[in-house]
Amino acid sequence: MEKTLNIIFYIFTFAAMYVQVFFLVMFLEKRKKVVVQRTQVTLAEYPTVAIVVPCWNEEKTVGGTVESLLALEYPKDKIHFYLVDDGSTDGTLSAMKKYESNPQITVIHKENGGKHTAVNLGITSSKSEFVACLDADSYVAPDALVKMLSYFSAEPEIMAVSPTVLVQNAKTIVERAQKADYTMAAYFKKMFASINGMHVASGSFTVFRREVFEKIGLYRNAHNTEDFEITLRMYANHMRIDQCNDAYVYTVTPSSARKLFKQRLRWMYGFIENLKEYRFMLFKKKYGPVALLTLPAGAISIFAVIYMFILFSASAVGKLGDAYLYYRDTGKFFNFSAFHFDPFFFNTGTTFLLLVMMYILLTVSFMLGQKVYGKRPRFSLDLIYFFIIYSLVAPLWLLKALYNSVVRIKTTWR
Amino acid sequence: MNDNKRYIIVFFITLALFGTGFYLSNHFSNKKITALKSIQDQISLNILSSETQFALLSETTCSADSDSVLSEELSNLSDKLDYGERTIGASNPDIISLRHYFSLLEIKDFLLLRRINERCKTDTPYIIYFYSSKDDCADCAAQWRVITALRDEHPQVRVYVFDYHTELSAVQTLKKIYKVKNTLPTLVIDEKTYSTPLDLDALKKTLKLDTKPKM
Repeated sequence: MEKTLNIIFYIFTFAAMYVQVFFLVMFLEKRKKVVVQRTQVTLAEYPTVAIVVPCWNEEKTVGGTVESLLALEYPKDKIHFYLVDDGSTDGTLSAMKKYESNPQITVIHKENGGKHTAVNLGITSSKSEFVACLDADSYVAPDALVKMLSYFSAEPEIMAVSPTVLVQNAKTIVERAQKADYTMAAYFKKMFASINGMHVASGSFTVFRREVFEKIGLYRNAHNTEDFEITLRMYANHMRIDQCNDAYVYTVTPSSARKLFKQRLRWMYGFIENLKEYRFMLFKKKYGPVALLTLPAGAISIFAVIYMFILFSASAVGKLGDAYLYYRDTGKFFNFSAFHFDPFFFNTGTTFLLLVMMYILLTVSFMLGQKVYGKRPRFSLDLIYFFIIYSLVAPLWLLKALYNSVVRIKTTWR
Repeated sequence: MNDNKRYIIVFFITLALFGTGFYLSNHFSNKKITALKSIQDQISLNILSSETQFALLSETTCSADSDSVLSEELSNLSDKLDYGERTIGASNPDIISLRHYFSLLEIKDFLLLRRINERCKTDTPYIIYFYSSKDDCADCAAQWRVITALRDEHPQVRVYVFDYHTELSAVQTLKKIYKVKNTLPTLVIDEKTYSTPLDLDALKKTLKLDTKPKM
């Protein structure tokens, strides 16, 4: 039995290492391109752009989002903003109406129908060549749009460009853990994008050619993960998506473990349900690396994380059991002779060493993420918070997402 | 680099990394076995030295110092051997051989202790503990926890641990001397055999630990 458990552990660890090594090889291949940080970008032509800001009860943050959009370094006559209130019950509409007089802004109020309906309304209300959507709790860097549009002019086959999403003002331990997560994501996304295999074109400020929606349709509810679904739909239609590592969008992340759990539960449930619908793509070479690597890696990682969690939880429960038995038999709480500071007792088993290697690879990913978005690579406490918090909470949201998927319980936004 | 070539190269790099993990683990295990052998050799030498010293000289050489050092060394070796059995594997041939050698060292140390106690009129308490390495002793784990707790509290108590099922002839002889049957765990204290588990208080009482001055 122990042998079987070890073999499963080795298979999962090998798969996880494979993905990390794949990214590393990609990075080494393309490092000159992927770490470029451009200071000034000008376009030969400035196409028209519509940016949709869908809102539901965002009265506190929508103003900041709009201000960041108005600060975009782009010709004012070529860009228009659609603030779509999706039936908010707070002062979101009033906050939006403060900007009504601005000729670049159109405020639309509709009955609540979900984020995708608000975004679609914005898209169909405009006629611009390019479309983007920005969440009302996110802020865009002034030069982000022009940098992203430069990708389209350089390569006409690119149909969408995703920005680098970073965490705004990480204060709590949970926020700092997510900051590390987003830093690694900057690296993973850039590597996946370089082989046209991104797992998701971020819902926050991915810029699309309008013809994407004309050819494959508008956003769908897609289990509250419309960004993931449209990414898959684009790949299913052999469209190319890239990632602009020097265009930044800053987002506000959940401040507590409970809120993080809820957000990631929605994401993972959406991943599982959308994966079920797009399972026809899996392992089919014609759909490219997303089908051969990205999606299978995502699916395997769910089971791998759950398996490791169960293994380590069982071990922890075993140790607690031993501690109880020691107390029961001796009346003492601690077995002092069990603690040794001799190097002989350092764990040098295969399982432990492989885990150490995995953590080293993740640390390298973190530092390369910093390099990709233009920061000097250095170790950060955020990474420790990430390892601790995600080790404890991630398996729970994965388990719940799987459970919900099996028993068909839908997730909600908040 | 084309995609297929990349996938294959990454596979082999990952395999190499994985292989390195296995190699390192094996390397460290071998180093630990070498360390155990070295400790056992040192203890064997120390026991031989004590025996020789004792044989050559009279009562006036009764010294507590070497006594307590040996006790500590044996206890340290026992802990490391237990750890080695758990991590490297109790069925590893080197570990089995080390365990047999350790049992012999324990018997030699026990015999030396008895001679010291007789000659120097000391009364160092000891426990000879027979357990089972097979799954036929439900109380062995609990008894060992009690003995460990006792050893923490009273480090002067010598604990000699033997697997009832070992094939070592010296251990078989020890079982015959103390009439140890297959009712485990069995403790031998002050030349008396106890075939039922003893809790911490009973053990201390039997060893007369509360009344004896600490050595």
